[in-house]
Amino acid sequence: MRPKFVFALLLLALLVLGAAFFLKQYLGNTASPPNPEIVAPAPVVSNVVAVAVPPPAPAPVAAAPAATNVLTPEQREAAIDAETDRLQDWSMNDDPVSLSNILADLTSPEKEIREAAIEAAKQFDSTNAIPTLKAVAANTTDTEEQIALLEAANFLSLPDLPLGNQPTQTREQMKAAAQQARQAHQNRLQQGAQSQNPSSGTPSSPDQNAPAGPNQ
Amino acid sequence: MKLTKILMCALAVGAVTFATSKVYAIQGTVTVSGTALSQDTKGGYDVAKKNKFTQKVLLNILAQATGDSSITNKKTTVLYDPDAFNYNAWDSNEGYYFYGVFYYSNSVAGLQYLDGIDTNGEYYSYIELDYYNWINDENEGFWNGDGVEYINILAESKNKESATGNAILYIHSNPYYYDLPDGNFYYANDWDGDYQPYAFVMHGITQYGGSISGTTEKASGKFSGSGDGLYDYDELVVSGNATFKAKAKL
Repeated sequence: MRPKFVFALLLLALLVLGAAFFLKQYLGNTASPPNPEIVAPAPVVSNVVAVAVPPPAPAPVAAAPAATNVLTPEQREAAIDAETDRLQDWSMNDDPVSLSNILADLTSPEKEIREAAIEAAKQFDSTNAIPTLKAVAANTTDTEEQIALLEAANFLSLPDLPLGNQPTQTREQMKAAAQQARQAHQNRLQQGAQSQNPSSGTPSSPDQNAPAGPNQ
Repeated sequence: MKLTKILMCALAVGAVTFATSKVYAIQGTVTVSGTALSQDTKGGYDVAKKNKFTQKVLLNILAQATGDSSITNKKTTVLYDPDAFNYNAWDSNEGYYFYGVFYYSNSVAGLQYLDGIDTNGEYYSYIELDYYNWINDENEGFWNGDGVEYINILAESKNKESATGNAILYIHSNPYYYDLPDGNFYYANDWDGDYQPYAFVMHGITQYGGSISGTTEKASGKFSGSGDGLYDYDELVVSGNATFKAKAKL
């Protein structure tokens, strides 16, 4: 009787898990039922900077969908994703065309693209972007975005942290240094614990050069 | 009979949880930027010098630290998978459960871990982002939920959710100076008299979110914080941001 009961229970458990797996697959693929098609507010791939843009002048960008294109939400999202990916790529380049493309996207109708363009402009790290960032900020009504644009302009006006070129320590040197520091830290923690114990009798002498311990 | 009922309830709860769970287990790119203050002198007075840093600085630190020059010679991306269980860290530091793995990738090196276990079996790591990931319900990096006060604010909608809470971002050239959650090494400066060439430690807030739309899964994160640093052994006060963006097909 008992083995039969256990077998039945296991069978039932398998059935429930199987149903759950099916349900998960089903839910996963239908989490967002497609909405009726909507008219995209404007192209998302490329834009013309609507403000007085100082040099470098925007270069021609890859063909963009027409403003009247009808996009489903999925298509629109895919277009935004593709453009933000391109922005990331451009931000790692060092040519005027990439900078023009980044600056053009500062006036994209899609907020996500505009935000990515601001970050890309910072990463591209050219002072040539400053006038455009300021000009776009002056024509933006969104306060947060205005702040982000001006912060980016201010950021680009700062000198770069020079790229350091320290001789690489060997693995063994680094490991030994870390072990030594960990041991010293542990010793100090123990000393601290002893000094907080009234029965220890001797007051601690805190290391003047060491920072305070983590606030935990 | 009572035991059977409990078992059945547990099974049902487990099945429903499994069926409706959403985990944003995807790898995405990480970008950092910020400013650094360092000590300078002018006309006999101490003055603060302000510089900016971008992803190029992060890549330079990683190139110096790993000894892989392809990181700066080739177009390199830094990648992060918040939902990856970090077996290397777990294996070397029993008792702690770590999630979140960083990598770098380029055409020469391929995909390389930014942490691992060396030939002597010791764990090493160059970059950590420590926080409690409320969305994935995981301790990320070396987050110590028992040792750090933290709060998460959630924001949810139909297919989207995000949580904002506090976090620590640690980038460092000595890979053995990772910040174990026992309270050690939350500082980049001359902790116990030892310097490392490059380090940034920033404490701040992070917003981690995910969304599922149709068959597309997305995850994103933003970190913003300040702290201290070392750069070519110079001491810095730093303030910076890191962004993470990922998407995948379900």
